Amino acid sequence: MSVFKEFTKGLWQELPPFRLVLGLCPVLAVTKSATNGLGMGLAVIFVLTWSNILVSALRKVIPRKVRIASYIVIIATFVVIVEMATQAFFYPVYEALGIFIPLIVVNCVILGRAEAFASKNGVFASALDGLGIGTGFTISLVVLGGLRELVGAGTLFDVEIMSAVYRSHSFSFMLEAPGAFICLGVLLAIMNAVSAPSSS
Amino acid sequence: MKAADLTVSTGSHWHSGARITDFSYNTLLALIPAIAMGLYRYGVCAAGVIGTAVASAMIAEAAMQKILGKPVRIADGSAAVSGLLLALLLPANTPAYMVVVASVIGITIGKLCFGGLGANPLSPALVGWAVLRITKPWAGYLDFDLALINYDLGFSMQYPLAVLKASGSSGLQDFNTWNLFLGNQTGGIGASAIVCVLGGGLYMIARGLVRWEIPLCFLLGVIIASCLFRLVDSAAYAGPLFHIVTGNVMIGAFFLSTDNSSAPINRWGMVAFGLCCGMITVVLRVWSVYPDGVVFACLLMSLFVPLLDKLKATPIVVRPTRAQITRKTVEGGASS
Amino acid sequence: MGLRAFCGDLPPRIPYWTGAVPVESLPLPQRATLLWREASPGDVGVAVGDSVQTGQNLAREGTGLFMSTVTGTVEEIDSLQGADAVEYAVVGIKTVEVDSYDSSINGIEDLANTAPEQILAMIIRAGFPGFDAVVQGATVETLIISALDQEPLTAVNAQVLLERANDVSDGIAMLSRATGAKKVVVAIPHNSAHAADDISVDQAEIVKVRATYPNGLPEILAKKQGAGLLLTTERNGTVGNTLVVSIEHLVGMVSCLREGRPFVNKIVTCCGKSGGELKNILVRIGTPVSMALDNLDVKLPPGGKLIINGPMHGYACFSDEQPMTATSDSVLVQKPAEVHRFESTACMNCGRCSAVCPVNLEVNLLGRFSEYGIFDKCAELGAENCIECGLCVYVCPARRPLLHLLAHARFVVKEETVEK
Repeated sequence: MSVFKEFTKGLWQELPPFRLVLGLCPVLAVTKSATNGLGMGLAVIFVLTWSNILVSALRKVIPRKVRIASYIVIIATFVVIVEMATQAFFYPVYEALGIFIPLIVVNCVILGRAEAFASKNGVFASALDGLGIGTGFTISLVVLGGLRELVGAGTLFDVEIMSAVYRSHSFSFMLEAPGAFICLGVLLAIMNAVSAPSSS
Repeated sequence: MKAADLTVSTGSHWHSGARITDFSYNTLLALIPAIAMGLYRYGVCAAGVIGTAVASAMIAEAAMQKILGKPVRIADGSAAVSGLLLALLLPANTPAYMVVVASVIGITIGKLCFGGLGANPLSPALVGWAVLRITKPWAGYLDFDLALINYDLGFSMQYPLAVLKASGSSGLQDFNTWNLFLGNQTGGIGASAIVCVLGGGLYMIARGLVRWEIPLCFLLGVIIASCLFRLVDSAAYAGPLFHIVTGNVMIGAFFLSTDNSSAPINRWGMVAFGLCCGMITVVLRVWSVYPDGVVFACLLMSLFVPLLDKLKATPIVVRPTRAQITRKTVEGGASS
Repeated sequence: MGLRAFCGDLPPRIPYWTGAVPVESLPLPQRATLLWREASPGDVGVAVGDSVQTGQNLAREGTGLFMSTVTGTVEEIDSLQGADAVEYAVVGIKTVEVDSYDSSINGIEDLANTAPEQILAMIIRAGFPGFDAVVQGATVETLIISALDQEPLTAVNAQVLLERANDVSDGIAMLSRATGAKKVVVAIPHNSAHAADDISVDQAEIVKVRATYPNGLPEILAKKQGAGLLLTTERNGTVGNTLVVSIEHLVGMVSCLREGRPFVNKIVTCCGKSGGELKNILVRIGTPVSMALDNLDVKLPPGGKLIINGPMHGYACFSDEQPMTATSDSVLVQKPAEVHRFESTACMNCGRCSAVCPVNLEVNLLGRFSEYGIFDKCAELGAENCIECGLCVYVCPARRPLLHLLAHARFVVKEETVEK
């Protein structure tokens, strides 16, 4: 039961971009479309789960003073794997995400989970935590990207949803950086409003 | 003591009679000449844009205040002013959906999310306008040459600033500064009626509702920056008078930059704010991709307002400060 | 109120009264109520039933000076919590018609050959207010004699300046010698030129001050005339070096020294209704306000306001039994329709309050910080310097209770300072 909780907490209670407000840089930058959000999210799930596992397994070996450097090395390993894999098999996604895949190395979500959770808990719990947080991160990115893509371009996962008239006069403000901030802020406000009575 | 039925409160027991509505209602009054000029020029289209903007701004404010559980205060007129200022910046045949989107985002995101009147760091009208401006598929509607192509009002229907951007000051021979000042130019519904806006602005200053520092320094900033550019290359850059009588400078100086909550309140802060707004306007006109830079200049400088408000007179010390009292205590302790 | 509206960033012009307002004497009240600030009933040295003389010190041995202004029998000893969180000792005295005077107050005939300390001691003994810090041993470096009234609709000093300019000259010479002040400044209203010629004192500098509020407030006078802080008593000693004395008190001192009488009669300007005529009355200190109102033939309207010490920084009473004190300058009655009501709107940041603040406070920020209890920010912004002049409230379009908020901030900041 508690193991299950480690997984589900990432889906709402500790939803990374909204609850923890971590890793906002890629959240804002790559969510121009739902596809990009999904790609980024999957990359993060992979890196987060494996780095959590490895950090947790090595948590008694790594000296405390050099732990951040060690975590970075571990994370970077998986990031390079992801980068090479996307370059080889999903080249359009690689092109779209650009610099943000290498930047997963310094993503606060991953470093934060390694520091706050994996370095204190067992391997299995850390794996579930990584999987849960990663899934939450992916869902957030897809929702944000989907919303921005739908309003800003009239498409969803590159499928044309809105009419041609809308698409030619779409509200592309949502695809710009200010639109990303406003969209994130509004979603955050709605989420807080929904969960207001239970929190505090 | 015998209890009497008396009102008890702190001072002052007199009041000057000023109300929050003084600001908004007088702004509406001051803008009537500009509105009238817009209606005369562009007819019912302009009326549609103004009506849509004002109505959607007020409805958005009322709805948002209801949702947030706050008292509905649209009667203070500030939402109407925001909507009106937005409308006056737009071309007469802006599609209604654009107007609605701009004024709703301006009011909700730009104002009520920050706490409503007095707490908004940016002017709602400017936020709404900026949202439209950076939405690429809608940019054509804001390009005055394209938007007003079907109008012929008896003067050159080229947007002066677009001409300046395209062909430098040599292309401006068709424009007569006096004519431009009288409002014979294309542009926003009300913003292009330069002389009407100036009259309204002077009325606001005379009533003490707009402090004179910001408008004066705004115009001064435009003059300084354009003179500097002119010193570098008088063939490529227009003179100060041209900059003042075109585009949004006049409405920007008197109405957009002087929004109470997004402007400094201390004298030197206002001077710096006005000068920077004016200079950034000219810089944006010269170097940015947009023909006019007034709105972005005002938005940019509004972000510096908390900093500019530090330029203030220091409080006059009429009472012992904390330091003096502490020193006394130390002395007293030492002697006893 | 027929006052000019605020225009631009000019401070609002709230002019002081300049015309003549003749003084009418009021009869002795049946019962006088005396207030003693920052004292408790235990500090009073007389008991109920004791008979007291005019000028008698009612304070218990060693607790200071609390002078009776009437002759009669003590009826009541009580305490009162003032609106400013200060405790007052209250003594009610049933008066008798003929005064008998306390023997410790004597006239001084030969002022020139009497030691300054002796003159000063006699002035303080005669009950003039404002000398607390001097009693505690502070030295007066600058003496400011103010011929300005503190508030609009007040004609106390204006009338004294018209009537008794010669006594003012004598008083300045006497008081500057008694206090040993290095610098003496006489502040007179800019528009009363003829009185300036009447005042001729060698060692004093005569300064014309624009006769608009708040230029007559002691803090502003002390600051504007190049002097330092006002002499005040703090919990651990005295602060400041400037003493401000109104000319009403000054001519009172002259009479006191000539005739050997304590300071018991006070001129009070009364205004029964807005726009109505002013009336100066001479009352015994301790007279209830209701007597002044009866003299004016004014009924207190239910829901109205009874304001003592002027419409700007005066205080609203909750009862017409409130007695006159040595510093009560005026009484004003407002009808319910004229009463200014505060509203709970948010600050719209127009900045008028900061523009009019005579001590350059950022009132807009202070009001908000005080409202939300962020008092360390209030301390940073110098909240303790607020002189509670009320101008910010006067100009505020959102009608916020700014003076209330600032006074609260000042109180908290002061308490915290003392605790540290």
